[in-house]
Amino acid sequence: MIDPLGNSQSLLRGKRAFERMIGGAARGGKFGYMRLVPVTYVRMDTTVWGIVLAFGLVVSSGFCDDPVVPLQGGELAAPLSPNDVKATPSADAVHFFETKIRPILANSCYECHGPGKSSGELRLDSLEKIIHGGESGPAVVPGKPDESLLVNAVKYESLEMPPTGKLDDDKISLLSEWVRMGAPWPGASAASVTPKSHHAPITDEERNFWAFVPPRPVPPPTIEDLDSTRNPIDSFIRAKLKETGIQPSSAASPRDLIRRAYFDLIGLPPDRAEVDAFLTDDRPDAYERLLDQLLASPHYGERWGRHWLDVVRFAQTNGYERDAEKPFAWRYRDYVINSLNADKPYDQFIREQIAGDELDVVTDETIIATGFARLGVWDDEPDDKANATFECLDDMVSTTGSTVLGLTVGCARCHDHKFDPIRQQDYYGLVAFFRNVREYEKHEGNKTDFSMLAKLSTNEEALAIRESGTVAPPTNILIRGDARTPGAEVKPQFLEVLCQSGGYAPEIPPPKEGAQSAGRRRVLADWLASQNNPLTARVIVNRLWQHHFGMGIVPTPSDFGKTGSKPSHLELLDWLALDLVNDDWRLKRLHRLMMESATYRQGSKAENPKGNEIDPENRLVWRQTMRRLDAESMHDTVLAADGRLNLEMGGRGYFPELPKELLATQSIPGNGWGKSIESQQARRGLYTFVKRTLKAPILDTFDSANPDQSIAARSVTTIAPQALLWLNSSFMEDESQSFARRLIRDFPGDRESQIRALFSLAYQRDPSDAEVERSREFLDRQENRWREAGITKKSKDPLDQWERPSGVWHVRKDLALEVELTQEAKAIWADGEIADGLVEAEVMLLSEVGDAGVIVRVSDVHEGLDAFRGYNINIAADKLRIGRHEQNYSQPVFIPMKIEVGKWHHLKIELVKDSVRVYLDYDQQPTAVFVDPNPLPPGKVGFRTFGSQAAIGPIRVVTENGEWITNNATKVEAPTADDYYRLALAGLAKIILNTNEFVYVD
Amino acid sequence: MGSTGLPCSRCMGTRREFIWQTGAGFGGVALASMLDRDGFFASKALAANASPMAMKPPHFAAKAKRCIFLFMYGGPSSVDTFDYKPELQKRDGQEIEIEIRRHSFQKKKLLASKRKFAQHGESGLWCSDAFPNIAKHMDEICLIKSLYADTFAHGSAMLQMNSGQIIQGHPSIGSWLTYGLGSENDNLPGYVVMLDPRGGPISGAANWTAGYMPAAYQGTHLRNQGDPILDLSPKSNITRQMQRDQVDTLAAFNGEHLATRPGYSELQARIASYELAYQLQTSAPEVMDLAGEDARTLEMYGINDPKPTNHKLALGPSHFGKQCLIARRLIERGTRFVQIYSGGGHQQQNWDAHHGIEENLAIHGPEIDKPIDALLTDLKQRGLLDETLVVWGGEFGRQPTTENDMHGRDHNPKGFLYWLAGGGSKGGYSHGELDELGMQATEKRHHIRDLHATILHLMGLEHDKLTYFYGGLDHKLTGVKEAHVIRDVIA
Repeated sequence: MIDPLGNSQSLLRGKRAFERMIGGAARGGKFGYMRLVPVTYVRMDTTVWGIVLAFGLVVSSGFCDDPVVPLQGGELAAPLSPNDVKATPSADAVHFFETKIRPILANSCYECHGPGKSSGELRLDSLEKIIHGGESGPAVVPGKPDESLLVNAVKYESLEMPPTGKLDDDKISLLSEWVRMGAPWPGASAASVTPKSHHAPITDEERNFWAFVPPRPVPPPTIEDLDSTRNPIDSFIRAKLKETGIQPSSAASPRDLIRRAYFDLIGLPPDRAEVDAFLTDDRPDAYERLLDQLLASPHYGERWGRHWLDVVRFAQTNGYERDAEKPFAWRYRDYVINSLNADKPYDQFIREQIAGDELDVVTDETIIATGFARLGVWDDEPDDKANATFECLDDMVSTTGSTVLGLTVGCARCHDHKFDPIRQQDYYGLVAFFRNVREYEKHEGNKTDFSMLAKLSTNEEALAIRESGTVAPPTNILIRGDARTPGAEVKPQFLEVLCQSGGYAPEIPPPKEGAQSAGRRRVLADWLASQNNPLTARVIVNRLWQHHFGMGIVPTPSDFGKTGSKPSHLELLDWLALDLVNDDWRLKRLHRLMMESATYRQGSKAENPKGNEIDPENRLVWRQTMRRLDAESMHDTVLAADGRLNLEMGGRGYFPELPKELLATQSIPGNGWGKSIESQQARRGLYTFVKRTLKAPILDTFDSANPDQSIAARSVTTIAPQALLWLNSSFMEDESQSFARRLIRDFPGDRESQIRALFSLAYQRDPSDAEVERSREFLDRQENRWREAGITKKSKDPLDQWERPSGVWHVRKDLALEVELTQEAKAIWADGEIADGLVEAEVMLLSEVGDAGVIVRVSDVHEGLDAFRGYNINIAADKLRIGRHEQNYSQPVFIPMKIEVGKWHHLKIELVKDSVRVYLDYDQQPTAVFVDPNPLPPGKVGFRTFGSQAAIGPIRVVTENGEWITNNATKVEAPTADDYYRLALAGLAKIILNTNEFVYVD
Repeated sequence: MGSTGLPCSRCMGTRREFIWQTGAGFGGVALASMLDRDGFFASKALAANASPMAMKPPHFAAKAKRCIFLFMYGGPSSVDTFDYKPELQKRDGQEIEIEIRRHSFQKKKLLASKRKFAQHGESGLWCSDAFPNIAKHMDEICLIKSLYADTFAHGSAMLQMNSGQIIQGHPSIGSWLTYGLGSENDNLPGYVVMLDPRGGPISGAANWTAGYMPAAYQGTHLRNQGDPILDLSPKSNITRQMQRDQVDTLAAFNGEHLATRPGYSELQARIASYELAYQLQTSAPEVMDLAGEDARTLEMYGINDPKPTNHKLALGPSHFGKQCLIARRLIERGTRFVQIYSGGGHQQQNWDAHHGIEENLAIHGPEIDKPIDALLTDLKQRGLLDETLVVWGGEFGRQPTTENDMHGRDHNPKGFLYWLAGGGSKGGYSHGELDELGMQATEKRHHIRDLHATILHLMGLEHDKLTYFYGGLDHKLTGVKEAHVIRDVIA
């Protein structure tokens, strides 16, 4: 493949080099590998290094407390002192080495770390190689067994060497002693060997890597053909295209353009009227007006908020075995949406998320923003508690690094970054900013961790960062990333390579009076959000570009380092970054700039032979890129087409109904998954509750972001299970049925209009004659087949048989009744009365507040609160009650108890003359009993809620006259011709919702 | 993709992530090959991105083509099954100090096994009477008795056994195998997971996730009741003929759309995916349909055995037997990796024998004994055992001490066993040892990354070459610590 930028070749070369290098390459990062590290704590920059002792070994006496002592058994002639400085070891030391040490090394180590093989880049067959060390740093620090990797490894303290089995204790002692002696080696002098230094200054070459050089102001190139350029973006793009001779594509049609703009900015389709209005708007600034309108839409924040949530690994649970909810994580989601809608300056947006609790002005909003640090996976049952602390810190540091800086900072957790000039010291310098953040705490018997909740001014709570006091514990570099082997202490520091003129070690201002935190994150936040930071603005500019053009100027949006891809248009990236910074970091203006460009407004057809040949990946942007809608937009667009989309914003989110088969994959099926009423289930996909171990297939199958990691760019897969899901899932079946009902309702009896409306609603265009004809033929064929196949038709809506004096009621798929949250709701079964007998039903609370229950012996019903006669057996999250209504309410029985919300509870009520006996959840003994001095007369049964959202299953009633059940009115009726046609039309609607035209945006 | 043809994503990874990716999961392979048959890729740059995801050659010729992983969820005991410890039997009731959770030591009483052990076959490998039928196969079985893992907790241990890492979010071994080798069957999933009817394992789908790889590589949960695959059949009583018409009409609409948009292979791929989905509706149920199996086979797998009455949690061999037989049918049709979970939910519902090792073995032993006997026998008689690697084990093992009055055993990640059979493993061989009491691996000890490396090796993949680029690093199943193929267990 020809690569106009020459990147493939360099990548290939680089790759081979990397492969050679890494054997055991580490992404220390987020995933916490412990091991293999160049040690950076060795104090090469201090003057204490280099006192040469008798064997020519190097001892850093400055921090070596013990003088070197002779071995037991007189292997050494005399104690050593600094006066015995020699270049090579004594004969006795050599003898000791040859008889005791070399055999161990040869027999147990050389197989992997010898002449034949150097696993982990380490060889142990010469002193030089030992001290140079491998990937994990020097194997031996002469004189210091405790700090020597070799000794740690054979003791199985960090690495476990040899892997085939631990050495005998006496061999371990000998090796330790040998190191303590200064690692004498025949003919070699440790003094002449310096370990690979990790304090080496960052080289000019490293600093001059494009991403670390601050954006340079470059004027847009001058383009002769000014007609086709609309703004400086076009100048940069056209200049580069000109070099290759590829012609830019012609402009997209207005219809393509408006659809593209809608999906890009708000993730929803325009409706037909909006398209038509745009097509007929001949004002010269019609398109600009359209952009203004979309940027002002509250759905802009939802669309772009979701992109941000991908990057910050947003989820509402912790993951792992219990996968418990992170309380109020949704406030962070809403914060992101609101911030984007408000066009909050991006620097402020970053400051709030890193240090919202330490800013000059702290508000509820800035507190909620710090939830950013709390979104990651958290193991509440860590095997290794010491390291678990650092897993959480790493999650914060790595996510901050990749999100804001576009650097894989986490790679420097266990060793210096292998490709980028990020030292382990840099990494722990960043950790130090977060070191005082309060850790997660696990409370026995309580699955949710509340240690990271903060109170808001409204008395509500938010997931947030909290610190305990103003004094941060010390931060040490962890050798091999292992908490049990701390190295030198570090102070908070920025990434040195990004600080061109030094100044990477900031002063932390003394805490203000009454401060609750160490004030360190504020310093970090100010640096990250500074215009002097060479990466922050570029990274966000690139993320915007990626979503507008299908690929970033840097195609690896969270890796601007050496393993990432090079920018296709560095000058443009810099120009945009500076433009952003100069305009108060406002993102909406940037969207506008990109979308107003002729480059954005090009058609997406890949028809230019030269373009296809020279730049098939379209990195030079000679065309727009046709794209499949992302998972959430696909979901939302179906609901928009059939008219059911619920645009309610914010809140905890909803639980789409999941197939039983999927719940069965949990160790406790259904655990942690709630229920939502149907209107909630028609909300935008972005409000789906994000549970790490249970993902809604409708989104997951279409490559929605896996929240276990920061996702910079979703993959786009095309697989058969997607087709199955879109043909056969309950969601698609229900929506295509709704669609058909809508069409029939809007155009009763007019098949051609129904077909035309279907196309118009789905595609915002009229169908061609051929499309109408194909549709009509399909409908005829399918209608006949349905007639032949026959259908089972259920009778009228079961709700019709309920008297509903108050409340908004639905019938669920499981035939249960469900009522929306309201002050009071009643539904009374129209047929049958009970005096004495048995009443059974299942009730489920869907809200934490209010109560819900069964009413029996109901009579004299009027409109209004408590306006009926009857007994009310109800449950709430904290109690069970028996109430008595006689156009008022009294509460003769009240039993405090915990009743789980979101779960079906079984109520059995025995009515015998004056007594009401209640059995909750199959209790053997009555849970509550009420003996009424004035028993109520016979009456109907029903369901009542007070201040709650709830559901109730069919009520079973047993009296001496027989047994009956509510909600059973679904008798089989003879289907009518309308039914066959409706099913055929639903089939056609499903086809249209499955077409490529529906899910791809030109 | 580099010219080496190795399934290494580094070369193009950063770009390919942004272009069309076709999965080697089911559907994906066929898309690529169908398109290729049509000459679709002949002149298209995207060929480089699509075709490598189809069948890929192994790194070197290997016997095993497919793998069946029998996962004893909860962690089975070594010292009651295949690892006879005479010293433990002698010292029953003596108090010793053991590490019961990381860095937490307690005094506990040794608990001798109540099981009777005997040596079997020419090899004389030990097997207890917990598995009287598996015992007949000891000459085909290769025991690895000296494994250790990093964590005492189920959640992270499950993740580590399946993905190599204790941190959630990494691809599972089946993802690695389908990523590395592709799938041999267009119409079936390449990576199948079957669960216990008592529930899934803890962390659920995280155990068969594709992690940072495309979702196409994640395991497909195959159910043996109702729809075998999620949304395989329509919700209405639509006929096959009507579906055919639906798919054809859809293709007609899509064809017109495609005609004006040349150059986008993904449009054509998506069109093809509907045809495949249609075919799947017959091919997937066919695998599940055991009507074609003769009575003797059904009998052998214990499929018609009644549910036992000795314990309310016990299922008998019927369920696991059916899954083993379906596993055979899957691998016969080219599925690359099948994982079957024995045990689900919590505690005695699986192999997590805190509340009584005897009770636990009484529940679960018979559930797997006859089915595994049948699977090994069946594979052998069909000549499939040589090219099918069977793996047996859990997320860790159990302590030799008693946990409570119920004679239960606690978790033990410091020393436990796995066994392999077929697929080029060395039958009738035992590798490594725990200490004399069965507390921890001492001789020829291997971290489970070595087990992973060995499984990959037996399948023809080199663990340090099978890499996937994500987040600045070439990731491997075996992680960054050095892993070693356990050469001694290879025939």
